[in-house]
Amino acid sequence: MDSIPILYVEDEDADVVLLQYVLGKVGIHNPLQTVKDGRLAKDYLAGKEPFEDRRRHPLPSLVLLDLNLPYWSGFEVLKWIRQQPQLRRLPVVVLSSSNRPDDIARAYDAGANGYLVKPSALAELTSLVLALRDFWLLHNRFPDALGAGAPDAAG
Amino acid sequence: MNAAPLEVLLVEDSPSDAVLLQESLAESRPGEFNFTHVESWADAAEFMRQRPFDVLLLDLSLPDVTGRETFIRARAEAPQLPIVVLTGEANEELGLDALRHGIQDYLIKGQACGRQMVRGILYSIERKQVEEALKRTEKALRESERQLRQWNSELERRVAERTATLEETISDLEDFSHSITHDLRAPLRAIRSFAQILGEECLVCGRSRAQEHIQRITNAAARMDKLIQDVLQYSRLARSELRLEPVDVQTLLRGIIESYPAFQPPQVEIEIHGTLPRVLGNEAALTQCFSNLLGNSIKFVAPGTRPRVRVWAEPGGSPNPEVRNPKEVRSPTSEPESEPSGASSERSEVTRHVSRLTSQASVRLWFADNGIGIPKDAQQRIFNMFQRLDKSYDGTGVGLTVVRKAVEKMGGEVGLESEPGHGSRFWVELRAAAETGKGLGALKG
Repeated sequence: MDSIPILYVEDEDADVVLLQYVLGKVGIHNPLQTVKDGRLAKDYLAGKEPFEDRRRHPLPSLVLLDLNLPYWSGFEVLKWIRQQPQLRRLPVVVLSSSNRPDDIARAYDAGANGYLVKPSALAELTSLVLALRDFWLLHNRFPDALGAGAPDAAG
Repeated sequence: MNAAPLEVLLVEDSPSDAVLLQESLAESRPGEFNFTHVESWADAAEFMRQRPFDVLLLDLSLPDVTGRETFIRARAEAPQLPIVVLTGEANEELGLDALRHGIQDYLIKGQACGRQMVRGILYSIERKQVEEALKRTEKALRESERQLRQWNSELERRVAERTATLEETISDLEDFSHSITHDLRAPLRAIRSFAQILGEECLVCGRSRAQEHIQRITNAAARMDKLIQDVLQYSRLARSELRLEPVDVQTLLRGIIESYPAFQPPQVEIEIHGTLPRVLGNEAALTQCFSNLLGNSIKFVAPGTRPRVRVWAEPGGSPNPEVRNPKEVRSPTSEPESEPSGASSERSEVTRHVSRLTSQASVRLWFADNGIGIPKDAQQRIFNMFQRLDKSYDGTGVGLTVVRKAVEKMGGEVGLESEPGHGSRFWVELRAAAETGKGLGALKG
């Protein structure tokens, strides 16, 4: 489970650092790649420059996606992923500070596999990360390929 | 009877007929008619242009126009003048035809006597006047209707305009709340979390002053976060439409108590006395209200006191609970008491209250605590936003504001009885749900 690569799409530096801190603290050492906006997320997943080297920028098995992002919103990224034949099965969990019913519904409509609200206290973030680990890294079975004609993802 | 003689324009080309007619009328009513006699329609038209007449007596065989053409033309050229046509004996059909064309009456020459003719003429004048008055009324009515339609459409246009503005404002507000969630809470999350990390790192370095300061930062950030969330919750509630349906208060309240460790023994003691009835409300809003009330009750106690809350129901029903005698409202259990041992003896009393509920239209739920109490002069204020009476207790001052807004949205009322040092008794009055049948279908609000 340590080898499952994760992509975190988040524009708030502080949130990225916090997640990295908590992951380290609870002993999760999976490769974590981060991109700061929706367009970069798309480029990363499409393997476009500067992300064309899949050894350095592996195709993730799980995406953690913020919604409020520059250029492309999380919704747009999500819809785009579901439209890509090679990516459409990619599990995407939304990690947003919004708990608006509207946003939650839209995220699921766009094809989210889960929706988590960013907690504001460290202890809650820790518990959320542990839950993510247990569900996605320990128990969840990933598809062999993320879509038709796509290379195996879960390396 | 008119004071001035009636001005009669007689159009008759036969001089003998004209004389006969005038004589016969003058004989019957001397001095009442003033005749102007002409022999052609052209002359008649000329006279009518010069001065007004009260009535037109019209022969139908004139040199310049004859037959039905005569009265059609006369009617068109003198639309407001009473007209009586004069027909020959063989021409009654023509007379009837004239009536259909807006002529007031017809007289058959040589047949009617003077008195009948007078009556016919006077009635014709009368009829025409009534008809004209009716026309004026109709016209005024049509004008009013037109005006009304115009105002109505103007009003509709304005309502649509205002609605659009309002919808825009609401949408702006939504965006605003949304950006509050995102933009205000993000830096706060950073402040709070990093202060915490710093605190953990300081545990290692062992500076207690620094740790205390970091704790203050963490607490302030947590409080700020709670404030933002509470205000958001309030604004969402204020804008939402609450769907009302029967809610089983007993089950709901037990569920709330069970799901919050802070509401459970041994820290606190929350008792439900008797059976709580079903009310007409919104479950989510009621959950918010009850947990806010319970939370308040257990929070505001004197240091060292174990919080104790008792909940019971009694019939509401008074349209304005404020005017009721407080003594009447107060159930024996609502009296403050320090020893829990008294509770069992009061239970029968409470049950008696509850058994009356079935016939009541509203239900009053009481939440009595052993807290610090609230001074009289502050009791209305505490429902206002950001009102905190004692800053040594943790809180945002929004909880009760949410309770009041939610209860009002469900068509109910809130209030309290309290004395400093003797606890508070908050009440929520709501519409009772019909007790028959568990289905929700019948009572959707």
